[in-house]
Amino acid sequence: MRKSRAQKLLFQSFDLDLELREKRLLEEALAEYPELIEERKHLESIYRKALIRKTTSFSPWFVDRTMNRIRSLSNLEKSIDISVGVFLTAFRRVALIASVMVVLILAFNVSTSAESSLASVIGIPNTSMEEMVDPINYFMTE
Amino acid sequence: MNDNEAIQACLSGNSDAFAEIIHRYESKIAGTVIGMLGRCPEAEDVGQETFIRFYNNLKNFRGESSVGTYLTRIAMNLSLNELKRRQRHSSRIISIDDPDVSKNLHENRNHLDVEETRDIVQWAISQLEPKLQSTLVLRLMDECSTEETAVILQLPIGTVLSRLSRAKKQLIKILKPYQENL
Repeated sequence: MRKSRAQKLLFQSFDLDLELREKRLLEEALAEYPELIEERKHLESIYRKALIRKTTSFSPWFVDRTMNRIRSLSNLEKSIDISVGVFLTAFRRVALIASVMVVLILAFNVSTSAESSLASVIGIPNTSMEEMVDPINYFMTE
Repeated sequence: MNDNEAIQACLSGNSDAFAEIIHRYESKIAGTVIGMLGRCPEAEDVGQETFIRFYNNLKNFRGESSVGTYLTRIAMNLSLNELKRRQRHSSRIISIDDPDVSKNLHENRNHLDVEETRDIVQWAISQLEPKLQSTLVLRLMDECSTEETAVILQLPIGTVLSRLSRAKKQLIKILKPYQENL
């Protein structure tokens, strides 16, 4: 077996239950490449050292600090919700009043105008082209 | 109160029940985050953020994976983000090429106690590229099985195994000078 394949098998033996056939191949490879035995010992000791666990925890009162942050974020969210709610309620009223006014203005325009064009309904004065480009007026200003 | 009962209590407005979950998983999450970032103020921030994100997403938690797995996944993703941020700001203080660190370790390597050797292994793991580091931290320091590691990282087992092999190869290389003391 090639050394790289044997090394791969050796590494896998730390993370998987090797099949019987693989175990046998690994044993043969270890006999063939003694440096892999050293590597296995080294890895075993690295694993052992890494597994020596001090009771890992964050600094004291971590639970309380996290709960305080959660509560303050929830309170902030609640107050934002309330502000948005107030704004939406107020805005709804303003929007309703504005739309009623627009409808009233349109109705007024329709009832008072002589012709029924979009311009007259919206309330745009109907200016003719001649009125806009008056040559006499133009020469007088020149 | 088990995890599901605590979650149900939180969802029905009793946020204090969440303290129970934090208390239960603090050590596990601390192991993951400190394993990835080392002991630093950012580690605690990431720890808090992990629980806050979980709290905010309680409604979406369907219980397909365990609370521990879900929390570890959040913690790992946040830790990887923090490592990326550090790399962007070039503030990874300890580096394999850092002459001071190497010098200190070389000077002291003849008389190392258990704590020190463990710290050296942790330091060596922190030198790996983040994706190898995350796999090794879960497998080695959090004592997750290969399958659990694959579930947390949402990777196929084959990828996890190949990352573990690469990580070990690099770890052996980094720790070669300390082989006698380990």
